[in-house]
Amino acid sequence: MTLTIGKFTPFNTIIHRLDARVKLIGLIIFLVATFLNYGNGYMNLVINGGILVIIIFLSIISKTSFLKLFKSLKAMWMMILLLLILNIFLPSSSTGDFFFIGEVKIYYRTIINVSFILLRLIIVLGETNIFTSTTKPMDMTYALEWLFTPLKWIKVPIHKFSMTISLALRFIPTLAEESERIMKAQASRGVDYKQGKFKDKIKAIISLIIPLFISSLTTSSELTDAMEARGYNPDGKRSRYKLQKWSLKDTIGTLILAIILTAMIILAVYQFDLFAHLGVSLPKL
Amino acid sequence: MKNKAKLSELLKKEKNIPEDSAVFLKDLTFSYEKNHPTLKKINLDIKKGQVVAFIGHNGSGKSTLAKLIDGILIQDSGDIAIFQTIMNDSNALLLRDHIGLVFQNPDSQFIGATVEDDIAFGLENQNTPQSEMQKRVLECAKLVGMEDYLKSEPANLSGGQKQRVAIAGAIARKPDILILDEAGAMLDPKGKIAIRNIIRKEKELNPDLTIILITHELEEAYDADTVVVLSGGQILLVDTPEKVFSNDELLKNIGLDIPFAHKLRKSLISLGVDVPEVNNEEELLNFLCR
Amino acid sequence: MPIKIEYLYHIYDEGLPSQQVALQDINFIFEDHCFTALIGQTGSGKSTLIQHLNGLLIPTSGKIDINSYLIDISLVYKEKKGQKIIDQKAMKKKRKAKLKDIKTLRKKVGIVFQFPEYQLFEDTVIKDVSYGPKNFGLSDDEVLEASKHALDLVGIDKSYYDRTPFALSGGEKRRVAIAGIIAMKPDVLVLDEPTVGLDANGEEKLLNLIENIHKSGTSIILATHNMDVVLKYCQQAIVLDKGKIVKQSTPLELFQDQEFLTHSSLVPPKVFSFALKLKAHGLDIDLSKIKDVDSLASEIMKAKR
Repeated sequence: MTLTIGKFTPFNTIIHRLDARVKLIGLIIFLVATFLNYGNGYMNLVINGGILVIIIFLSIISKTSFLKLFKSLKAMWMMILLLLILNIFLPSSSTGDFFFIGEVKIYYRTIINVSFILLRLIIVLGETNIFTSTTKPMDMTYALEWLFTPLKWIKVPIHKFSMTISLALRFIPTLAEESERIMKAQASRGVDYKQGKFKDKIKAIISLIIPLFISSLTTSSELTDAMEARGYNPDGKRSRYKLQKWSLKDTIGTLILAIILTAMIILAVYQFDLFAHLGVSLPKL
Repeated sequence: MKNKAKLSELLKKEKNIPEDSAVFLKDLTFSYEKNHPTLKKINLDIKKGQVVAFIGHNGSGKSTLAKLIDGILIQDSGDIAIFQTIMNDSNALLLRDHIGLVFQNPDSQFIGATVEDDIAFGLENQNTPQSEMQKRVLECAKLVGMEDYLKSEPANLSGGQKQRVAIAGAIARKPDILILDEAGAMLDPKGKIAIRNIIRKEKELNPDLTIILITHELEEAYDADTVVVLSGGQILLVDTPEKVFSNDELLKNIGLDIPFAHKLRKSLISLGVDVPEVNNEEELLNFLCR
Repeated sequence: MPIKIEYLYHIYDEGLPSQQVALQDINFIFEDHCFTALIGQTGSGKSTLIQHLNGLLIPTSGKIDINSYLIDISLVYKEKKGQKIIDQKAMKKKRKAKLKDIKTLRKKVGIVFQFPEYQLFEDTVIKDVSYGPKNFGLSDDEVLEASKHALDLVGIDKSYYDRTPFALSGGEKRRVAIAGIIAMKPDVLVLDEPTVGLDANGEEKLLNLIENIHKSGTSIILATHNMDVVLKYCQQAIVLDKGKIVKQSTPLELFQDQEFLTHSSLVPPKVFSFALKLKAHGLDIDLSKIKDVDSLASEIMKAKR
């Protein structure tokens, strides 16, 4: 079994123990910070570099597999390579300073842009990965429900949505198990999911999909019965067994996040240019 | 005040149904497909505190009957009364509070994300206060021997453990009637025994509990006071386990195993030995070792 | 066709907090034409072991020889600081290596999983049963013949061939699914608790069918909880507990080992314990002849005479 990306891993680090709501706020703050514009390309690069350092630090203390994440995303690397080549040969704008590699004229702006896109991508994947691999799916749902509480006031049935999501999350492992079981059964009947002619492959997939579909239908109707049997009424008043407990570390976490957010907003609003301030002259973009 | 009046109206007790009746079925008919009734005119009176076993082959309609009693399916015709109250559209949810129903498949009836969440699910539906829920969840987890697994997820539990959690989830709601629809059928022998023991223990703790066991295993049905034999959607026989299980012909017809002592006796007779009628192994052993 | 297993280990999620040793130090030979029972509680490693027999799972380490089809993940060592240690990288590479000609292996060893009715997917019974043999490259005529033969064996008659398998009863579905494996004409037929959920009649029918297949020369490996079945049909029994083989013997020896039975909470068949009681009361019963109720009755007759 290989480590699945973004799947919850049951370690017990400080990040795992943080309240899911703090982590959700954290995720949103980091996403916002990544997409703010800090003036010029150099500043964007520097600040996002700073965020990347924080993300790597968080990855290490939460024992999430930051490096593995990128090793496994081969398709993404191909895309980035393509992006790089396209940008170099077909620059989006031909302004600013440039240099030559052999015959090819390369703009500094292109280099900065591509690295910026790359950096953003890494950050977004990295932070989402930390969130999903340290937070139990159910806690995520609770956190989301909490976040959307204001919608309850305008009579949006948040509870039904969150029950639906909870059940879907609950049954993902069951479905995965089921599909593995069916795949193994069909493999024993000589099905090869990896090789063979196109026609055989289609057939192989059908031999998986149909049983899986039937078994999900059975499961969902049995689940409905089980829920009804225990008195579930979607329109009824329900109490809540799990109350999330807010502790000191959560308050501290929220404070740190608030400071980061404030700093980022200030940087973005004042468009502070570090390099001009230090008197370093860089190629014009 | 008005609410209370409404409630008592909803749960009005019918005078012509016996007072000691927990589940009362009158001319109950149900079909999944038109003109192919799964159950035909079932009449049955299950008394308070009784342990009743429904036996019958696969497809005899015994699981359908359980779902009808719980109001999950709606009958075509006939009546169901729970503690003298006739079930209808508006009181089905209220009457369901009296009933706990445990199904066969361990995977599809595990609703919560963890053991404790699953046990609490039924309590949440009853709008139970959180502090009381915590107490009750622990109590029921202890009853089924799952108190060390409260935070475990279903993927890490065996089928037997999941079924124990399902029973805890049903019992947590404090039902007066507990129905087990082949709750042990998909488990290994150890799991089956564990479930039987839990049910016995619960019955001891709570002697007023009415229990309906749906099964196709003889051993399980021996725990019952009364056995109801179903076949082709009809009740063939209602009697004590001893009487039912001495009726080899009937058992064979409905595809059930015959008790060991009866089987051996028959086999000996076919070899020409004259064996008198025996009730159990002990008697047969005594006869043979004389 | 013998299957030889040497030093087999299987570890799930190696290196993760969820790591689990499913099988350890399994050494066993499934002899040719033998009817073997695989006994063990849920989680004892039965299913994991079965999946090694046709290459669905690759051992973490160990060697499996299925009639000279070799899956060899023997330990590889390397030197480090003068010490001999296991070369994890080389082991990983071995496990990842593609199995050559896996289809020949899958054809030799047919596996019927628990609740096999879930693998049905074609729109007619005959098409579904033909699916396996077709995948193994038989000609159309051969496929049809094998499928018909298999359906015949499981007692599904012609009138069913063009019906959709999904509309059949539970027991019929299961027999069709099993026919789908039998039609592949495997040399070894492995069945994982094939009778779960069937009623007494269905169970007996299915076991007689398996016995017939055994008699026609196929080796059978049957995972079961039912000790009556072990006594009646099986020639040897393996008991697994927590991933280890804790007993391998004939059913006769197994059911006489009172201490072992109590220790592993196995309940011997009623027929057998009744025979033991008779023997204790002085009746001269030949235990090796006891298979089921009828054989017990005739042994009682002999002893009484």
